[in-house]
Amino acid sequence: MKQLLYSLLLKLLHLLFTCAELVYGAVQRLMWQFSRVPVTPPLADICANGRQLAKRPEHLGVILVEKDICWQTLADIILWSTAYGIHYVSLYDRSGRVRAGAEQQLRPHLERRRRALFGAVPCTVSLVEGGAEPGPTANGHSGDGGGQYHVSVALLWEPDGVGDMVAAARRLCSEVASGARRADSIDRHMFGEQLRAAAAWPDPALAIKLGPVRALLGYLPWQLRLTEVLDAPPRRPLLYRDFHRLLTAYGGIQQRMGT
Amino acid sequence: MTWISDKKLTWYESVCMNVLKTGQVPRHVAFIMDGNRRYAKRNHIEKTEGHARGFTKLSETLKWCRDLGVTEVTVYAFSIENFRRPQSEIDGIMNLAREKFELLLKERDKLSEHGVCIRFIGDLSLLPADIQRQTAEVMLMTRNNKAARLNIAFSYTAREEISRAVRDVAAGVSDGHLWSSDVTERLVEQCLYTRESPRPDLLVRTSGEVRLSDFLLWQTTHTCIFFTEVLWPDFSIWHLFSAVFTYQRNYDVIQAARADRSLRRLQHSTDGLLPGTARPGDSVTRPGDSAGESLDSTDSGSECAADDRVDSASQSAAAQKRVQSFLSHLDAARWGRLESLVAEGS
Repeated sequence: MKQLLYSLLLKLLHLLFTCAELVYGAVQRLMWQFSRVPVTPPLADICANGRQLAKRPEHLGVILVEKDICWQTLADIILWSTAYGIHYVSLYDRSGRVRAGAEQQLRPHLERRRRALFGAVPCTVSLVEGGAEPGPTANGHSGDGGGQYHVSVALLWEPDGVGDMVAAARRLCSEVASGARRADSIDRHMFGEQLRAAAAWPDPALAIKLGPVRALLGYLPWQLRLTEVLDAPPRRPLLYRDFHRLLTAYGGIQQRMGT
Repeated sequence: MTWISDKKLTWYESVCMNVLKTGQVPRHVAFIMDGNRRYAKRNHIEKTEGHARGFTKLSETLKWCRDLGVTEVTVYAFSIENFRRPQSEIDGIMNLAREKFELLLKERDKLSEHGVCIRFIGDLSLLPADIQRQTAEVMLMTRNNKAARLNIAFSYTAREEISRAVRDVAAGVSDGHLWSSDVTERLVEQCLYTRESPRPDLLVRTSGEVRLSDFLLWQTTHTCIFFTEVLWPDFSIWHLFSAVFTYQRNYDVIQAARADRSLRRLQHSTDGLLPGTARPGDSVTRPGDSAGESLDSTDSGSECAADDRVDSASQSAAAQKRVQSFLSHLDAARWGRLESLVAEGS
């Protein structure tokens, strides 16, 4: 009898939380609908905001843990990062939806939003699967992204995480088997260089999680060693001020590096 | 002071615990116990006293976990990176460790009574020789306890753990125990320090930091992560209840992601593709759909079983025999090293 009562209490607690989340979400959406949407500032102001940050991540990770993909949000994050001087952005969705939809969905949004924000100012966005090699760019030009505004975007999914580490282990073992390498030459510095996902990229210093799930669902486990993980607000598309707040919050974080 | 706290819960704590226990309880919880030094600064005490209070909190937390039904706990006690701290602080931490590990040795009967197996994970060769001997003695002493396990990450980083596991596997290939085609995700995982353990279901980090700091990076890819602002010595049972409640609220979606991953790996291994070479957009069968496979329960233990099935599906009987032989050999070598350490000291 007591167990039944406890079980009912727990179910009630979860139900209350779910209702509270739904009500809060509905109220927020209503407020967004009737309030004035803040206009994204012009490029010069965004760049100035970027320069004022206490620190900027060299590599920004975006981890999608929500059911629906807001392609405009992804396009905006890429372009705002470019304006901030961030040169590496990785987009991660464990099931590969971002990789599969890059051509049909992401590119058109990127092109539209790029024209709106950058206008005639040259801006190069290179989409690369896995982040190993630069690919064709959103503005139609191939190349390595020279110029003031350029960003490489890695499209990642689950096999780029643990799967990449296993593939590297297998390659190293093949080299050991053929006598090309000694087993005792394998250490953490050398192993990291063997990984292909986001190869030669700096580790992501900051990862923005889009969605309510409290897990990273396989995002670049090796590279995640010191990554700060911040949750984006639930509003879609994400507003520029939300992005700026996240980067400002990152700027205030102190890492003691074990000391 | 004791590792096995007997402190009783208040009636309302008991009620809340019993309510939570009617839902999903994580089998394995990992803690990054951060905030001892900031606690010491805030309370105007020495850093070593802050670490001592952190130990007290650990003892309480282990009791709460036991009462909740958590059978495995992993704690991040000391990182390899922490060796960069001032020598005086390192000496203080090592002295505290000596004292607490000696206490573990004295509490052998209590540990046996509760069936607690203790494992130190990390590059223990970096520790002072006497602490290495203590850790070896504790591990040998509790080896056969099966009811619960406490993993103490001491002189640990995940990158060192992963690269060491790969090195061990490569050494197995070099020695002829393994072929390079035998290398799978499950094999590497069974060479990690946390072999035989299910992956953590819940990871709790205190002190407001929002990073993993090189802790269990391989094992926590599909773990519910709970960041809390409280400093570790101030961690309370209510923070633990919040963490478990959060785990329950995220349980379904994380389990679905784990099942999806296991099924995708199984499907591609039976299709003749190597694990890790899946293509985006490939169809994934749902739990219950796949012929002969049942992943209705996808807790961390089942996930390991699913990984075993992936390996079985893609490996020949000869390969499986090589792998089992290699793992037995590795295990024997590790226990042998511990026994040598204890023998040297006596």
